[in-house]
Amino acid sequence: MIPQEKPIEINKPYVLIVEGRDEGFFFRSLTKTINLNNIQILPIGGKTKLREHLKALVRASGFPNINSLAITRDADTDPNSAFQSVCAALRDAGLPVPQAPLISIGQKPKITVMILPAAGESGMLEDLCLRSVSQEPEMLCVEQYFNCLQEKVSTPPTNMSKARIHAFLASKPEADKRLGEASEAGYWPFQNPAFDQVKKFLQQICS
Amino acid sequence: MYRSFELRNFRCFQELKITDLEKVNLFAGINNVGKTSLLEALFLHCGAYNPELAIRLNAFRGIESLKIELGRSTGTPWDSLFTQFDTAKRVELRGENEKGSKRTLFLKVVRQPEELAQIRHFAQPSSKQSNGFPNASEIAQVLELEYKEGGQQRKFYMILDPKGGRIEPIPPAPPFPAFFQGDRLHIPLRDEAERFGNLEIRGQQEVILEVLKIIEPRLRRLAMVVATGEPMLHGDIGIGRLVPLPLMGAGIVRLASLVLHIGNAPNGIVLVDEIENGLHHSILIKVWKALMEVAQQFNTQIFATTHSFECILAAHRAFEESQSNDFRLHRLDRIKDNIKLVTYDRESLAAAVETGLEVR
Repeated sequence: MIPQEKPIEINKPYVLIVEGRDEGFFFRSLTKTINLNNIQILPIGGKTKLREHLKALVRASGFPNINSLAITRDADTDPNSAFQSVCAALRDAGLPVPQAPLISIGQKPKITVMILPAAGESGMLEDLCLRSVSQEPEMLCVEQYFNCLQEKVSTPPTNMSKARIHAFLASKPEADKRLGEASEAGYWPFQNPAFDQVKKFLQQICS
Repeated sequence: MYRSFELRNFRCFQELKITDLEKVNLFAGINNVGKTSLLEALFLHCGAYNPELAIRLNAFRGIESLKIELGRSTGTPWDSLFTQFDTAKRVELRGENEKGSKRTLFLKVVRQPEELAQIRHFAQPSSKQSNGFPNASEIAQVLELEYKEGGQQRKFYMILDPKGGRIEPIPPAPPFPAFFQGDRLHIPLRDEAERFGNLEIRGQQEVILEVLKIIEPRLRRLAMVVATGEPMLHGDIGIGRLVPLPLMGAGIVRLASLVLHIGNAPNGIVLVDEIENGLHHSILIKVWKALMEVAQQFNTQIFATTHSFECILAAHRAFEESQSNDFRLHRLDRIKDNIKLVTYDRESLAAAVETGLEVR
């Protein structure tokens, strides 16, 4: 709940809804990198909040000015189920429902959905970032660390992608950063082809 | 209680329909988007048969004196009621109550000589107030109010001529009580005293005492005291003498006024412009809870405007904590040349509050 803070006004023609604050930092950095400055990023505090957020968004005073509305969420274990969940929230808010991820529908706003890390894949944003640094020398150490853990610890981390991200970022000069903050610090190589699909998606929603 | 309300060609509204009205309705929106105008339209509609209310709206806007310039083809005191001052189109106000009963009012400026002659013909014999309608050679300004409800249809006229202003025919009492509290309207102490007296007559004065304790917990008793010829509400806060309410601050006077109006409008309507004025944000939830209870007790519907996010949030919290669905937030948005309405029910307002999106 954010009642004490200044309420958020919709003031840009392109709006991207992301799961949380960390994803917000990530996409803010990425859009800046590819010179998309007219896009407003709205973190919603978790994927379960999408339905209510959309219901509030369609009533916001700036909503009629939105040209393009995009939504990202993690696939987790089932990309199809994740997409259907987004579709249900769109339907509930009276918005057009796209046929598939990355296929836009409607006008003013045009609606586009991307399920992360990439079309048809299970996983999350963290997997995309890990893919972008998979050839970095630090990742050899990260893999050795987790192999070691697997041998010696009976209860390894339940979310290995998040754990790998933390381990990778712990190798950086400022070791306390989360995924989003790491984007701002330039720890993710946005020029890596791993980000091509998500960059194309961002350009698509701003076109 | 109004369930829906429509207006056409009134002030800044070419057309607007509100379909989801509840017991308590709070209107938000940027400056000059029509919040006060909407209250004024409702006030006119509540009056049902009384075109003189159109003149009173000027006073609500702070225009106390009425300049009447007869003999000029442009400009009447009610021109501003019409969208873009275009009196060629008539104003239409339509309301529907919870029983499905509809009442429509049409307002138009009567200018054509033949129409004026017709009004003169019927007005003279029925009037007890007037000294007669002016001769055809004289000039009058006339506002026609046409009223339709069920099978009934009648016309009333507000007439301004060299002999003064009057209404023809004399309108009946309005169907239910309605009060308008403007943001800059000074409410005479005598009127407040009368409203308190009405509650005392019905043994309901405790209602206001309990609500005012939100601001002044020491308050034990309220009494009407005539001082320097003017009746004034006083409070006993245990200091050995009664204290005039205005000396306890603007907030307590504002709250007293709100409750007195609600208590004096049983089965009626109270319209309040900028309801948060004079009230500190820290008591707003308690104030809204109190207003909700008083409105339920007297079956009074409330329409209020606000610019305050704290006020909206407090209203939402008050109704949410009370598990009440009697509250709606409506926002007026100007989109190009039109004004649109967005309504938040409890669920969508909760979502907006949760997500931090602007609702004003």
